[in-house]
Amino acid sequence: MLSVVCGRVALTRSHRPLRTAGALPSNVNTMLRPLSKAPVYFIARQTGALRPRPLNLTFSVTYRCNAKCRTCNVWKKRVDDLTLDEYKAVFDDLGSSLYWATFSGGEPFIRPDLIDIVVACYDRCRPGMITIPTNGLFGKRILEGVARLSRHARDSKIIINFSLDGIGSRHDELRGVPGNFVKLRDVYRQLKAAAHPNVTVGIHSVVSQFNVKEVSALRHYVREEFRPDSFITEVAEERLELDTIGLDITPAADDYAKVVEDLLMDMDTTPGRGVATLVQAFRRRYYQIAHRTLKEHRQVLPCYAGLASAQIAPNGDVWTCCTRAESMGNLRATGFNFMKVWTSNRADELRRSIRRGECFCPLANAAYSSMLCDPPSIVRVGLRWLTSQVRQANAPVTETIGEAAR
Amino acid sequence: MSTLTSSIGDVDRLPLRVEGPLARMLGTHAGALSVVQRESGGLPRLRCELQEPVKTSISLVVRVHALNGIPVAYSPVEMSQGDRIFETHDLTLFAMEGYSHLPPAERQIVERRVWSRRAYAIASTA
Repeated sequence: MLSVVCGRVALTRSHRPLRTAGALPSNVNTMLRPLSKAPVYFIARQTGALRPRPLNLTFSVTYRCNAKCRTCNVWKKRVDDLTLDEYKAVFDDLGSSLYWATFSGGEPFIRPDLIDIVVACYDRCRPGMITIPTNGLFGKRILEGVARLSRHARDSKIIINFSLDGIGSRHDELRGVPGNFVKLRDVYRQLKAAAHPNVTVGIHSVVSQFNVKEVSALRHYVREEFRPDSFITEVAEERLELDTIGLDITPAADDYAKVVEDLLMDMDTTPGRGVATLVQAFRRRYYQIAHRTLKEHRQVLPCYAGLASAQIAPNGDVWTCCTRAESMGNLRATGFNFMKVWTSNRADELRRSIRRGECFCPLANAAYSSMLCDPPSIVRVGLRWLTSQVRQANAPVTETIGEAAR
Repeated sequence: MSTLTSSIGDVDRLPLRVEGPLARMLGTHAGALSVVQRESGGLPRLRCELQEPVKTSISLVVRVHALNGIPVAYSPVEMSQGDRIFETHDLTLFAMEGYSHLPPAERQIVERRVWSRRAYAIASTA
C-alpha cells in the first residue's frame, strides 16, 4: 500500500488539479480524432472494397546510421534516398489525411535536412502527431532542430524518443558505439530542460534476447534518472527492413512475459491522468497483445497494416509495414502519386494476405493503428479508461495525501 | 485430397500450400516442394511434381515464408498446358535492394541467413 501511495506522490508532482470523470480534456479529443475514421478502416478491411488513405505513415528517411546495434543491420544497407523536393511531392499528394507521421531510419538526424522534411510534411499534411526516434548522437542538430520544429509545427504534438537499451556502458555495447550513453543522456537532459510546449521527450527501449533480463533494472533506472514523459518498449523482431531475419534477437515469450508483467504493474502503481490514462490504456493493451503474439504465433490483433498504416522506404517503395517490407509500388515510378501505388493490384494482394492472418508480429507502430480500428480493442481500452477516470474522481483522499506529502 | 510429390528423394522439403483458384487448377491444396541446392551456392531451386498434368497454361507465384508468416523470398513460375512439374529458377529474396553494393560473396552470406528461416511456401496465381 505504501508503494502505491509513494507512486502517486511521485506522479502528482507535475499534475494539474483533479479532473472530474465526465469531462474529456482537449488533448484526449485530439487523440480520439482518428477514431472517427475507424469505421471506414473497419469496413475497408472487412470488405476489401475501400482503400482509404492511411492515417499513420512512417517515413524511413534513410538507412544510414552511426550506430551498429546488435539488433539491427539497417546501417549496412544503401539506397538512393528520396530528396527533400521528392518528399514535398509525396506530401502534396497525401494532403490532410495523415494523422500520425513518424520519421525514422537508420538514424533520421543523420540527414541534415531532416527538419526541413518534417516541416514540409507539417505545412502540407498537418499531422496531429509527429514522432522522431533518435539515438541521440547528433546533439546540436537534435536540439536546434527540435526547437525549430516546435516553433513551426505548433498544432502538432511532437514526440522525440531516445533509444536506450541498457545502463551506461551496457548501452554502448548493445548499440556498438562507445560513449553513446553519456551523449544520449546529455542531449536528453538539454532537450527536457528546453521544455518546448508541444514536445514530448520519451525513452524507447528495444527488448531483445540480449537485454530482456536487464529490462527491469533499466525501467527503474529510467524512471529515477531520466523521468521521461513516456517510456515505451518494443520487442526486437526479425524484420526484413532491418535485415534481422535469422539473427535470433527476439526474446523468449516466457522472458518477455516477465517484462510485460513488470510494465503492467508500473502502470497500476503509477496511474496517469487525463490523456496519460488513455495512452496507458492503449499501451497496456499493446503489451498484452505483443506477449500473446509471441506466445501464440498468430495474428492476435486483426492487423490494419496496409490500410490504416504503412511505411515509405528511403527509396520511395511503399510497404504495408517494415516487418514484411514488400513493396506495393514505388513512388518515383508513379510520379509520386501515392494513391496509384495504394490502389494497385499488388497492394490489394498484400492486404488480402494480411487479412488472412498469414503473418503476425508485435510491431508497435502498426499495432496502435490497428487497435484504433478494432472494435473489441476500443471497447476494452475505453472501459479501462473510464474505470480509471471514475477511480480518480472518487479518490480525492489519496490525492490529498500525495499533495500533502510533497 | 490429393498431394504433391517430388521426384527427388534425399533433399530438403518445404511444405506447400496452394491458394483457392490455383488449387483447382493444380488439383491439390497442399503438398511439399523439394529444395534443390545449386552448386554455385546461390539460392536453391524449388521443385514440385504434380500427380496430373495441368489442363491450361498457368502463371503462378511461389512465396517462401518464415515461421512468423513473413514472406522472405518469391519466384514467378510459368506452367504450360500438359506440364506436370514446376520449378522455380529465379528465387529472389525480399528487401535485398539495399545490398546491391555488396560483392556477391557477401550478399550470399546475407541470403543464407535469411533463407535459414524458411518454413513453408504458398503458391498463388500471378
